[in-house]
Order: sequence, then structure tokens, then C-alpha cells
Amino acid sequence: MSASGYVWLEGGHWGLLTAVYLFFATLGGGAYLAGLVAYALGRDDRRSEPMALARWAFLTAVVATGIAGIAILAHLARPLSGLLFPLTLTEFGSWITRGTWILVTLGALAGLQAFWFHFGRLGRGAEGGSAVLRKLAAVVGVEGLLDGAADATRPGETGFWIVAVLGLLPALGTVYTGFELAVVETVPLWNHPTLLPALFVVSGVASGFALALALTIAFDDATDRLVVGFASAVSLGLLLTGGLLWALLNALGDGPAASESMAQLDGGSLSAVVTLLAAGIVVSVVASPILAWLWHARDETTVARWVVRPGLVASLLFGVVAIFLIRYVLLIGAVQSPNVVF
Amino acid sequence: MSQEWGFYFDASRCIGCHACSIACKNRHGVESGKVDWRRVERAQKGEFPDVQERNFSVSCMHCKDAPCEKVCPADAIKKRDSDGIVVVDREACIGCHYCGWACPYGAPQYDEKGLMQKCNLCLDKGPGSGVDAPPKQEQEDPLTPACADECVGDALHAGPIEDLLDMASEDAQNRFLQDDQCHVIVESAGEGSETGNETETAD
Repeated sequence: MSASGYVWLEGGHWGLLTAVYLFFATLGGGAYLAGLVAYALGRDDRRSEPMALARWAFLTAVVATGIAGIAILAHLARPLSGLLFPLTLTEFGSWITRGTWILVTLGALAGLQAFWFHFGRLGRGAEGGSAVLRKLAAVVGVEGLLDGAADATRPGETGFWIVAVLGLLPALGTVYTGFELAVVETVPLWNHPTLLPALFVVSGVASGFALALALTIAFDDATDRLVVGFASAVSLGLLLTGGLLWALLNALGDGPAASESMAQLDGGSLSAVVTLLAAGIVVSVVASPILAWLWHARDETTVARWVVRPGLVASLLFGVVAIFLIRYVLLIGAVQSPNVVF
Repeated sequence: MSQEWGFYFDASRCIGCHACSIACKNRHGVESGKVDWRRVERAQKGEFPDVQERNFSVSCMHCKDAPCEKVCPADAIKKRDSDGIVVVDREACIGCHYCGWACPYGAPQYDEKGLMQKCNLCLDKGPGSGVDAPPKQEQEDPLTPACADECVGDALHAGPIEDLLDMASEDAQNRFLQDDQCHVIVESAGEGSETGNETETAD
């Protein structure tokens, strides 16, 4: 009941788990893309650090799609029906159905790439943190078996690129997470068919690049020039993300539900989160490329090792967290248009 | 013969007694609490002393172009061709709650299991019933929707749309016929005007 003549709907159908799902699905797509880029740029001279980056990226893609899948299953009232999606999700007009196929395909292809990059011809020389799967396999005693399987299954270079490019479709197809929200006409905060999907896919790619790079720097000490390139790409992606978010909020209009959403984001219950995500974007946009350049051009000093490197990893992670918070804010700040009784 | 069914609600006659929502719960065995297939809302406008108040009885409006049906991944929500009633197959529902976002009227309700239930225009009794029921107009002894049956102010009616339209004002009929969307709420004719036979018609 209100003095405005409106009857508000209860809303709140989705919460933290859905935000986790939306975030990790796009992060998985971005990480897959990061793996391919790292391999493409480093394959000629087989530099070890781009290969380490590719290994981390594909592993990140697999784990991220897995987390996304678990989060969405946990959200369902019937998780088993979600698992049996080829039988149960039969309405292909729904973005949830389309998205489920995209996510599963991405997870499968990312898994295949992770396997080929960690074992067999591309994995044998792996050292450092990116060899984590090899070390685990060695502990279990199946390293040789997996190496053989990877060699047997990995196609030649042409075949590899066919599979890789096929994987690009679901990786970029994680834009579906934006469409899932954008088609909901009752929520003005979401109902923008271009800006929201663009925001999700751009920020997803940035988060995938950022997390894969952060892991490579943290666990493999990577200083390759690719570090500077990736950090710059993350910075650019985050800059675009900020711009798209700004444009989305400015395209909201002044309807009652849009105003309610804005009131929450700007000075309301979500304002602290919005401040945090804005700070994360700004810090990462500015600091990541600078610190990456310093780290790449380092001399072996204590400052480089104990200040620049952690600073770079932290600035990349700030960006990743900010990208998660965008999903969170958009979900929690969603308000359905009220029924106008007068 | 295909025949669209729906509700007709005249806000000027609604006294806000909640008989409709209680009758609905009784008919379908829905316990008191969070799940309400039909709700009675009260809206206010203006500031004291110039305040207007209106009651608003709302349930699933069985929309012509039902957005809940479009987003449902499991194909659990169907707009029946035979009688236009939107039904939910709770066996197929996976409980994703997408329909809750898509519906402009807050009609999808979720029980403690997280599965959706909503008004089926009394095709049958109970959550999820009516999915396989014969068309309303072909049933031997069709249930009159309990909400309309129990409405003390004669504000709420249910039936074939073509019959309901006879009750509506000419303006309301025209609005309904000119627009593909269902009209749940029809704006007042003008500032301070009496609403009279203002209609809120769903198809």
C-alpha cells in the first residue's frame, strides 16, 4: 500500500546463488578466451609463461563453469531435473534452456582443452603452479596414463584450432546470462536488450582474463610481456564495463520501479556495494597495467617481489570482485514495475 | 469450439472484504501464509486530506501473450488453445522462479518446496490441477471460479471473454479489443473523475 496509487510486487525471486551463477558462467567464457589468446600468442616459440597462462585459463574456465552449474542447480527447487536438462528443459525459446546448453558445452570444451594443456605434448614440460594437475596425477599414479590419453586424443594443429574455435561460440555465448535478465520486461533495471548483454559479456571476458593472469603471476611468477598485454586488456575491459554500467543506469528512465532501483543503488541499501564495485573497477583499471609493466620490467628486488607482484595480483582480483558485485547489485536491486491502480 | 475465458473485475464495486482470496484458498486447499493465488491489494493515492483509496483483486490474468509461458524452460506453463486458461504442470516445474520475474501481476506463487502454483480459473481443484482437464466450455459441470462465486460486491466475474465484455463500459471494451495485451488496470478517464463502470478485464 502506498500513497502513489501503486501496488508493488514482492519480487526477490533470485538472490546470491543466481548472482554467483551469472558471474561464474561469464567468467568461464572469458577464461576460455584468455586460454586461447595465450596459446595463440605464445605457441610459436613455445614460451613457458604463455603456456602456463593458458593452463591456468582453461583450468579456471572448467572450475568456473562447474561452480556456475552447481550454483544454478542449488537454486532450483528440483536440482535433479536440472541435471537431466536434455529431458526436462524442452522449451528452447527460454534463455535458461539455451543457457544451460551453452554452459554445458563450454564446460565440456574447456575441460577438453584443460586436459590437452595439462597432459601430453603440451603438458609434459609444465613446471610451477600451473602444473598442479600433473602433480596431483603423479601423486595418484596416473600421470603417464593421462599423458598417453592426451596424446592420443589431441588432434593436429588444424584440428585443435577447429575445436578451439568451436569453443569460442559457447565462450562468447555466455552473453546469454545478460539476455536471461534483459528479456524480463517487468524489471526496468534489466530490460535493456543491448546494454545488459554487452555489459555481461565484456565484464565476463575481463574477469576471465584477470583471474587467469592473477593465478599465473601468483603461482608461476610470470613476467612475460604477455602479462603487460593481458593486464592492459583487463584494464580496457573494465573501463568498458564501467562505461556500459553507467550507460545502463542512465538508460533506466524515471518510472516507479526504475526510480526504486536507483534509490537502492544511489544512497540506499546497496550504495556501499556500489561504492565498493566502483572502487574495484577504478583501482584495477589504473593499477593493473602500471603494476604489470613494473613487474615485467622488474629487476630482482625485494620491492618487485613483495610489493609489485602482490599489488598486481590484488588489483586484478579487485576487478574480478567488482565484476561479481555488478551481478549482485543488479539482482538485489531489481524491482518489478508496480501495478498502477489509479 | 475455442473460447477464451477470463476474469472481469470492477474496482468501483470491490469493498476489499477478501472473500475472493479466502474462497480461492478454500477451493484449492491452499493453506494460509505466503501462497496466495488471489490477493486483494489496497492502493492509495494523494496526501491527506485529498486521498483516494481503491481495492484491487488480482490473480493470474491468463494473459493472451503470457510472458510466464515464454520464459519457462521446462515447458511447464501452457496457455491452452481450447479455453485460453494458463495452467502449470507442477510435475514438469523445476522451480527456477523465472516466471515470477516475468509475470507483471505477481501471479506465480511458490510453495515451501519452491514449485510454482497459481490460479487455474478453477479448471479443477488444487495446485497444478487442470493441466489435462477438458476445455472449460466442454466440461459437464464446470466449477465457477470460487472467487467470483463468493464476491459479495458483485465486483468479480469469470467466464468467456465475449460475455464479460458485455459487462464492461464501451471505453473499456474498445481498450480491450484494440490492444493485444490483457488489461488488468485501466487508468482513470481523468483527474478526479468517477471510475463508474471502469473495467479491469483479463483475457
